[in-house]
Amino acid sequence: MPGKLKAKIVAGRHLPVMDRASDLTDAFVEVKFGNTTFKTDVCPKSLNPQWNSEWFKFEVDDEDLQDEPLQITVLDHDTYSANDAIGKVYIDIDPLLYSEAASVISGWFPIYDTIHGIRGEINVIVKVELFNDLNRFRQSSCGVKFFCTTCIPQCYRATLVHGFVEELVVNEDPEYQWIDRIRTPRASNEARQRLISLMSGELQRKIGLKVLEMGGNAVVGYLQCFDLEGESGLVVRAIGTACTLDKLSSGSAPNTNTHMHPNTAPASNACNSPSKDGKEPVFVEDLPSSSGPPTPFRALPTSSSPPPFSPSKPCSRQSSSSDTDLSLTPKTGMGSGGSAGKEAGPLRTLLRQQTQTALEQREFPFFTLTSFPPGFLLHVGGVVSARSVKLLDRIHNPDEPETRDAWWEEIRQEIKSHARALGCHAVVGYSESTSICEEVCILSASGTAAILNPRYMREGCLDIGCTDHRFEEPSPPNCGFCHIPYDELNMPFPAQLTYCYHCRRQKVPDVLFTTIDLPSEAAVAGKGCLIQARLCRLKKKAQGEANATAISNLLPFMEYELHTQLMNKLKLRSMNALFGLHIQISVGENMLLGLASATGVYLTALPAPGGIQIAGKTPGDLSSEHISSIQKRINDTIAVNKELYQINPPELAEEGVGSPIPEPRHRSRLFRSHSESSDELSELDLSHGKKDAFVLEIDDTDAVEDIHSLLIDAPPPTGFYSCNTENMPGISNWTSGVQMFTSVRVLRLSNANLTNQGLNKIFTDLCENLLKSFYFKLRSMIPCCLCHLNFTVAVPEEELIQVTVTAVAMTYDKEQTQEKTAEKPINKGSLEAEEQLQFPLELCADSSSSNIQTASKISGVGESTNMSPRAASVDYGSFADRCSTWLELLRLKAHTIRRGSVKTSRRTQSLAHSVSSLERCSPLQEGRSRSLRSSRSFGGSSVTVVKMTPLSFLPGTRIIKYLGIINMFFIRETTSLREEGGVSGFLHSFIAEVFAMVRAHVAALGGNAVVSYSMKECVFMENPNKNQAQCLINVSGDAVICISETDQESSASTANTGQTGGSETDGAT
Amino acid sequence: MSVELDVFVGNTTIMDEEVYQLWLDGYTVNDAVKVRMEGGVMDECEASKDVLLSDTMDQYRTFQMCERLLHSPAKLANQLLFQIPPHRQIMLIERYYAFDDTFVREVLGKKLSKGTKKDLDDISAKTSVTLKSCRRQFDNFKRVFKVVEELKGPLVENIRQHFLLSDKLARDYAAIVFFANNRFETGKRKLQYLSFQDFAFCAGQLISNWTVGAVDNMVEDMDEHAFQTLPSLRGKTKVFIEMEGSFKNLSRGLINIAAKLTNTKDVRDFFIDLVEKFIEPCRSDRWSAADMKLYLTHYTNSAHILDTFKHQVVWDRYMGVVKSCIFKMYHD
Repeated sequence: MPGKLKAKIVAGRHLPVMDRASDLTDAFVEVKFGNTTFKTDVCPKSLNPQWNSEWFKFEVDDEDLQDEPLQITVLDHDTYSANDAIGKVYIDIDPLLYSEAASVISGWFPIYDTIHGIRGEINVIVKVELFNDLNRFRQSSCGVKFFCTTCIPQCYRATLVHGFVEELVVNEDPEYQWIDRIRTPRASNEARQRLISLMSGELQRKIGLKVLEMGGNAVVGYLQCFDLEGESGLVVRAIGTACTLDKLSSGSAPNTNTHMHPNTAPASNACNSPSKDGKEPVFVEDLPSSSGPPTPFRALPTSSSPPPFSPSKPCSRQSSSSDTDLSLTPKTGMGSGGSAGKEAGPLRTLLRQQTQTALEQREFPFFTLTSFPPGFLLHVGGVVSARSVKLLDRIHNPDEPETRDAWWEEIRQEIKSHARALGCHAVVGYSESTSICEEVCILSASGTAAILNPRYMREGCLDIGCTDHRFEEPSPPNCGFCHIPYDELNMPFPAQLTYCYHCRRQKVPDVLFTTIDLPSEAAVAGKGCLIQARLCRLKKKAQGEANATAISNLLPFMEYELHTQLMNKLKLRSMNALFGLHIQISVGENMLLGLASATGVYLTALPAPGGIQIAGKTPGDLSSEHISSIQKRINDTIAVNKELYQINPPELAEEGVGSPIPEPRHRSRLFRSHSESSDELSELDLSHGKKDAFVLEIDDTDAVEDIHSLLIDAPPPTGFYSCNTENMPGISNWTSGVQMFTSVRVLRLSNANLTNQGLNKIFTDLCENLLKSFYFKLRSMIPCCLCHLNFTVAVPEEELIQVTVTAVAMTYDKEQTQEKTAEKPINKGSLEAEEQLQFPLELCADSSSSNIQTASKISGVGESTNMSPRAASVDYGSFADRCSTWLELLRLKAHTIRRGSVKTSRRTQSLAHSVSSLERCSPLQEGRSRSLRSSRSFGGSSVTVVKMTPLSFLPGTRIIKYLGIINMFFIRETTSLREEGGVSGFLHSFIAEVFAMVRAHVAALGGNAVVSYSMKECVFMENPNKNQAQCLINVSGDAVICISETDQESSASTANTGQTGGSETDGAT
Repeated sequence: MSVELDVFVGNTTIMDEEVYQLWLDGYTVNDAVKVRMEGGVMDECEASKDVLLSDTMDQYRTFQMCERLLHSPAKLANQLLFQIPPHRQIMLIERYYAFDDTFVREVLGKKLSKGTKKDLDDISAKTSVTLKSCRRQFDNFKRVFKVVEELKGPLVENIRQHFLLSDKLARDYAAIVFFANNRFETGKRKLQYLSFQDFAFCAGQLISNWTVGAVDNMVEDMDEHAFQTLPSLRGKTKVFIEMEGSFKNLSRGLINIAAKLTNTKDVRDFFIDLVEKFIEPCRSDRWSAADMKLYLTHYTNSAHILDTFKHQVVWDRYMGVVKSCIFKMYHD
């Protein structure tokens, strides 16, 4: 489909003064697409120019339409010297290329300069006309929709989930080309911005092609990343999940998919899903442990790069201790293979086989989604992850990025094999990341091994609703996913299994770690909370291979430590599952940083966690008083946390837990040392009741430190909760308050001789202090929850640690929550299924929507979200016209004023009178041409309010339209750092500018919110001695139109048309 | 180990009104932190001093970035950089343009020039308003003055529209601008007892009754025609002068003041004249405010009795203002 791109430049405002003499600017605009450039006339001597240009038309291939951005440059005309650039606007026209998204881009865009930041705004209208051309060999993929959201988008229905798509493109980084030595920083930055924009366009197009090949029409969970490899080049890579999506007619209530809408209480509507997973005999599921080949290090053969170091390792092991006294679980009737004699059995098996084969045919049965339609996820095995250390070399042939492809291929293979070892055929919540320092690069991938429902995989069985019901016995949907998927005789790792505390029929692990969101149907007790493990490890400075070896040697230890910390902190909070686990390992010249974040939760299907027990290595090693005081503190903390997170799991009589509990009392031990000290363990039985306890052994001061560090994690202050997942376990009644924020902190380690312990402390404090700052700043929103807390760590230079956090604070209704939690414990045992049948199964769609509605009704839903989109922009055109006539009159007036000081005659006065009265009635008129900047906008703000959130939803609202993906890359540089307020001032204004540009683009598309927003990259470099700094930021998200839940459809449509219409007229006049 | 960089940016700009006030009052970051600590904000969220410092710095930076926009408040509504809810915008503007009465009393009637700006440190010392705050207030006066100077139309309305201020604040600014433009003398010792609000009230009277609105032609707008005729009153009012000894002087005083209004230079002394020629004599005679009111009312009305007096309208217009000014100014 070749197309015609049309752009019109309407006006500018707030332009900077470019001509010192007159304090004015002679601005004109260049509009460039591909190799074609158009220019507007010069609008002389104005800071608020009105160009009102003709339509500039570009006739282009759709391939170019997808790759290229529209480039708008605003310049100051200079008769005698070169024209000065004021700034640029890049407009990604991709959203115009598919019919369901935006139809026009129209609005005010900030004019951005990489050296000066935002300098005024420009009003632009862009349209695209596509012609149909069914070329079989086409290279474009117009029409494929992209979503950053990691669940099925709200107003769509997934009829088929095709699976994993990935692609990467490489290029030389303009910053490192020879020409960079002779060009200005501005030119270099712009070259880079443009290149990255082109590359991401190309990448998106190529992924789109793959999707079309697979028969899909959309990519969900699209994750695009940049690797700035420095000398060796620039890599842009992306992964996503190809799907076939059906648009729900806008009138219909949100359908089943919205079950995943986190608005709906995880527990409360657990059952409107006609899910049928439960009973699966074969797969019972278990802990997080990832299997993984026993050898943590495996040299992977790579063709190109010098020495391949690939210490990839399953990341989360339940407990890495060697001797969990776990004996073989007595075999019950539900062994592997054996289908427990239900009539559904054979069918199931058949189905399973189908799925398995369907999935196995795929190279990578991976899904970047983190939440799923109910029933999609049958069982969860645990976290699987792989890391590999590589040495970068120059990318010789950008068109054949084979090396990088091969690297990722290896990692994915490994993930796949880990998943298989866990008895799973798929990996969900999959993501990939890199950390680069000089020429060393750590590639990481992680996901959650899982067994999926075949329905979504098979063609011809698209109806999500109820077809499968007939041969699947409805089983407790709220525990099914916890059942272990692997064969308990061949457990891939030591784990302790018990019968599910819900259905009592299947085995569950004692702890579950996953990278996905808490399934909406899961039954939880109390609230969740953010759990972080933080770790620093010093490393010797080294070059090349030696460096890579050192890093790969350190990695397994770091993973182990992080895992131990997570486990301890989880127990300390009396929880038994982690969701949204994300482990980041960042490499610097002389240290490695590890940060694991997850949301802890108490799953009622899993056994209650045991306490933590402290033991001295040898009795008398440390005074027993000391130990018992620590023990007491720990026990107190656990008690306090139970209270805090309202964890009151349904009390179950120990006897009730089905007979064959493998080992009623065993404990897993965690040893600090390798000494064979298990026998010497002092048998302090301080554990909670009969529950199994986790033993921490104190054998040296390090251990004491570690325990202290466990305890210093301050709980959030009253009124605050935090999590890093989409939905907060235990809170669902959101009110309308939403505040997205980004915070960056860089710490300089001045002390040269730091130990690992010291560093750990510093790093932990850094993270804790950040959280404290957030709580303090957002205290006006109490009661509130920080959701989707996303921490990113980096070591930009030696001795610098950078932590970047993006999150959203959302208010909720406290009263409601309490009620809810109060009633929650009722859901217990087998009663649950029936209880929840109060939501009729067949009405699942309705029930979910009514749920949402009640929630929002109670919360008194947000007027703030409900801004009138019609208040959108200003009517500049007509204003200009009126101004010009007024200008003459005013000029006349000014003249008389100048002359007539005292001696003005009566006549002038009366003129003045009449003018003034006129002025009164039209507030548009202002005295001077300079002040044309309008005072009219007061009252109704002329700027559309755009909300941003890293979540896939906005509380109290419903998304009625996805307008396209936002994917922007900015560079900002300064050579006057001090004058801009130092590094903090510089970065503060840059981040504010990035937000402003994102909002402007969304508003121009006709949207009023960005969901699934994320800041993928924030690379900050400074050179205070030279008074310079540079920063790169990459952000992405989905532009949407959302309306208040309480609004009726009618208002939705008017809002919609009103908005686009409004913005159109505002430009067109 | 030190924090090299620390920023927090919200999609909706977060602003604490308390910190904003501290910033406006010219506190340094450290002083502001101290004030906040004393205010007990730390207890609210288990905050530490570091947290408070970091928060204060963030907010100060935000305010500094906003300051540019606050200089032309209309921009604040359609700028894209900060997403600030409208009610917050109003608060920001209103507080930014708020001023200390003690400070403005010092500069009232002075030329808003560089010279005056140089003396701000003295004023700062005298009024114990921080220098930073003095500068902001002074620059605000100047900015408003500059913008409305060339505008036609009612002064208050112009200020309100351009700077999006509340009615009260716009009126005060109108008074300041009016005083600065006409350079009314307010600094004399005899006038020291008058507060800014007294002057602001008088200015309001003068502006609404004696001008057509714009600052520039204020002087000529003072209805020179009308006032030129006033001297002719002199003879005609003699009829009443017999009433009391002081009456004669007072009446003459008022009429002289009126006559002087035709001359720009003498206009400056309007207030000092009112005090010297009228208020002080009355005060020394221990007139009560009620006496004063009675006297002025009758005095004004009596002119109507004179058949020969042809300038009833002008007389009312003049006396109306003078009367209300004197009421306002007649206190200790």
